[in-house]
Amino acid sequence: MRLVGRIYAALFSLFLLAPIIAIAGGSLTTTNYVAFPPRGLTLHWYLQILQQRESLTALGLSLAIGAAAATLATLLALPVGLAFTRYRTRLNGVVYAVIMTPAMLPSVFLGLAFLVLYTPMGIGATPIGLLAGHVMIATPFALSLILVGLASLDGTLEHAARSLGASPFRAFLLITLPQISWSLAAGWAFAFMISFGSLEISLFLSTSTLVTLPVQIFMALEWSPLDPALTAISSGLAIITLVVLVVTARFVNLERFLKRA
Amino acid sequence: MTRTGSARWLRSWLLLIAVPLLVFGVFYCAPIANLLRLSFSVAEGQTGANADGLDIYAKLLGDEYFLLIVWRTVKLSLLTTLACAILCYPVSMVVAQSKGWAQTCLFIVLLMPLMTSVTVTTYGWLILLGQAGVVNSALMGLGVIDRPQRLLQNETAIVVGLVQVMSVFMVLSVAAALQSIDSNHVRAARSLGASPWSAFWRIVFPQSLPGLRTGCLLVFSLSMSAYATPGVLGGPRLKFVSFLIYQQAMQLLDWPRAAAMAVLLLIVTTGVWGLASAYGQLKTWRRRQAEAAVPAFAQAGRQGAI
Repeated sequence: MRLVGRIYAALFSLFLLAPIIAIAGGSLTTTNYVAFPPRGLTLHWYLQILQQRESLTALGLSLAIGAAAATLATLLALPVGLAFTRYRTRLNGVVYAVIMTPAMLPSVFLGLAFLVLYTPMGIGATPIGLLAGHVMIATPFALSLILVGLASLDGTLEHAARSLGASPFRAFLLITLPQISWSLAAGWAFAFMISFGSLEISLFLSTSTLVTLPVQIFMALEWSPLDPALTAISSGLAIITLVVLVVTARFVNLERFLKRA
Repeated sequence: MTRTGSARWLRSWLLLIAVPLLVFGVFYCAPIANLLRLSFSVAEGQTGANADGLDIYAKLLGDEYFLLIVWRTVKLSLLTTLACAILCYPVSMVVAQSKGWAQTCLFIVLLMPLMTSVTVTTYGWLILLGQAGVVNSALMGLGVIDRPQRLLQNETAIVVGLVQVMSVFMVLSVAAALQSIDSNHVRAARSLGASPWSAFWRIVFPQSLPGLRTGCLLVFSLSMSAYATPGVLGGPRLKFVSFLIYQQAMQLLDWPRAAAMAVLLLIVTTGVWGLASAYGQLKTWRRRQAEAAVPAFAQAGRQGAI
């Protein structure tokens, strides 16, 4: 029975990974159209991206927006998490609802709402507007991981520091922060991955000169879905995500997800 | 706590919350409020004599083409939810039982489709299900079909793509519920002579239902608002509501109409959550009523007896 379960889980994992494997495999083909399984092996298409100025710009923009959005999301989520764990009030529920809903509302609804108000605000088609939108959808992920970290916190240590004469700030910096640093890192990483992969929000807030990598790939899918260079960029995107995810899993026990829910 | 104490308490709470709340107010709440306002306004150039705030909604709800697309979105989202629930439940059991590096690997595999851009995973299905794709050649190799079939641009392709992207929500919700079940309950049932099968159906499954419900809600509402997967795998013929909203806003530049569509999409997706939580509250209320109806001495007696 156990064995059957494991085999089933393995098959299901294969189903989940199949499209990503197809992208990675297809990008290695020597044919000048995408073939999976690949015919022959070459890194030619990866080298070709290095000459595509547009793709490199899009990759740079995605990385920059992702890093900035993740940093801002973590900075916004940390004080909120602290307020929730230190002060038990009904108002927490309201704040929680405001900050968590961007992860649940239809992203097309959000993209349109951002576009319609950011335009008269003067940040409609600018990197600032794009960043603002990404921060909104990334913060819920940072907050939920930071809350997991704060919930596992041993409060007596900070009390001890305070009673020994440390100022609240010093106690936080030297005692609390090191204890929750893993959850800050995980929150940052998840916020980064959400922003880095986001398509819909970016579709609404991008212009012909301000294009993130997922948007560029999505647009290119309409014209040349069988271009191996496109597969190579896509697989680059997946590889970056996989690296961030594996590094996060190395430092953070992902099982903590289950404890919270 | 003294009065000054509670005032100081509120002040430090506000100090922590102020900046994040301000940022969310300006960049998140204001755009949403503005979109709601816009959806009730009258589109420019349509200021007819009988045009009022609800005109756009009335037109939309009378538009057969729009309703057809809404129906397709709801139908395929329900199918995706059902498929996810059936396919993911056994996986959740494996996840809940696994430990150590095996569990970490499972988590990475599950999170990969969520964290990888939906553009990339959708692109992958395009390659797998294409005319010359590996699925077609495998089916031909097995002799199931004798020439390549069109596996894309149909409803099945959309559901397959959606199940792959959404299953992580179902697996994690159900696994969380399964892990919180006290294993002593199962042991007790087994020691009292229940078969493994009946212990599962009568002890484990009922206790996992809240997780299953959360998973279904998440998968349904996220499928309802899916954009890239139906857009690429379904082709131009099988549009979803999200695609229509994008088209209205970005290609036809009719923001009020797009806003009204987006608000309707929001109502359907969040309405499901509202109904589910109302149902949950009704159940708790009924239970309380039933408990109140039992005379106090009977309850005391029951507790004493057990």
